[in-house]
Amino acid sequence: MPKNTKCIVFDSGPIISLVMNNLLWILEDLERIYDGDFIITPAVKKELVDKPIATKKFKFEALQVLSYMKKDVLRLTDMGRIRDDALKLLECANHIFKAKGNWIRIVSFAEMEAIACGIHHAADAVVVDERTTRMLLEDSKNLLEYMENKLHTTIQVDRKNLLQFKKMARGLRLIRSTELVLIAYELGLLDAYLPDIPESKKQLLQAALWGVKLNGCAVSQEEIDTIIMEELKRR
Amino acid sequence: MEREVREDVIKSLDEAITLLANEDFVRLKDVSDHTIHNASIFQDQDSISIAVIIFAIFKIMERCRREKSTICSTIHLVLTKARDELACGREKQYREIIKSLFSLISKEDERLRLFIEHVIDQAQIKKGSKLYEHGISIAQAAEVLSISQYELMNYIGKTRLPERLDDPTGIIARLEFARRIFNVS
Repeated sequence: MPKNTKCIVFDSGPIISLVMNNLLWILEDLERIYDGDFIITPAVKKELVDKPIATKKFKFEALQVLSYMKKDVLRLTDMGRIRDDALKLLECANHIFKAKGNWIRIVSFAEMEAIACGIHHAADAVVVDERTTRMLLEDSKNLLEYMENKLHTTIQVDRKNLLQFKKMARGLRLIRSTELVLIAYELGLLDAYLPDIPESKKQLLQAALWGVKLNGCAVSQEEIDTIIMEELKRR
Repeated sequence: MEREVREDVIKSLDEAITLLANEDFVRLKDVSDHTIHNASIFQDQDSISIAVIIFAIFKIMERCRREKSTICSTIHLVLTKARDELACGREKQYREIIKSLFSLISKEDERLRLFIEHVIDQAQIKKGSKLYEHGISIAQAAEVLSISQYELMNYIGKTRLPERLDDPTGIIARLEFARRIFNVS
């Protein structure tokens, strides 16, 4: 359960991006600086810990996430009423796009549980590395065009469900692991990694951002270049 | 099985059978890619499994083409049987035959057992990335393919797939917002 009044909710993607880059530790410092709670939901925990812990391949990553849960850096929320909202969101989101007479299931329950949790706790942000969820909330028209183009078929849109979905998630702000890494960099949390080479700060930021990108955070090369340019200007 | 799915699976099997007969193995990959359209829309096990299986056959044939192997004729025979069952509407029998395909290949060549396991894993991840490419979220694609989200994110991150849609909020606006949350000036 959240301890503080303000919180940030995490989907599984950003935690995976961080743990795969040995950067999960930045959450401890970021949580302290933020002075609020970092929350995950049961379905997100299932993706991050319960499923991989039963396998060999990502067991160690699961154990690392679990250790941050034990330290309360990542707090598991008690779902209760949120579960109903998550189911409603899931029902809406997966009944927006229809092709060949079939509703296209574009998102999973865990993602919608994170969104529902963000709504319920009036979170400052939900951290989502996933492109589809972000597009659905922020630019569904572009997502529709993209899907029609990729599936080579006409997609019908249920405007009622789309509006209902957007209405439920209204006001919710999304960030990615990219932004968390940049904040950690700006706060000097990554300074221990500064190399003794020319343009060391640029090299460090580039390395960290590419690290999360290469582990699945939906950020483009162009965006990374923009971040680095902007960061250099700020200095 | 939905009519459209059944027709698509039969069409894919026909194409695969012809390609195997002509030893044109490279194009098996295109057949597998084509099936992903229906797999994205219906997300049913038949569309998913045919996409995975044809991709796995493509990989197996890539390896076995150099050897004088009977694998190709075994696969050809099994796919033909499966296709005929499905064409007659015997879905249960079709699924059983498809399910037995890789154990038959392993029996024929014991050395292939580990390779086949690896190839099926690879095929599932590859098809998961294809679902993502068609607009399905990573988490949902992982769930449909019964694979780990860690694995799929790791694979997709190394492709150019996440580049294909612009961030609607804009990177600068998102950064400014993140800075405000953490009180970074």
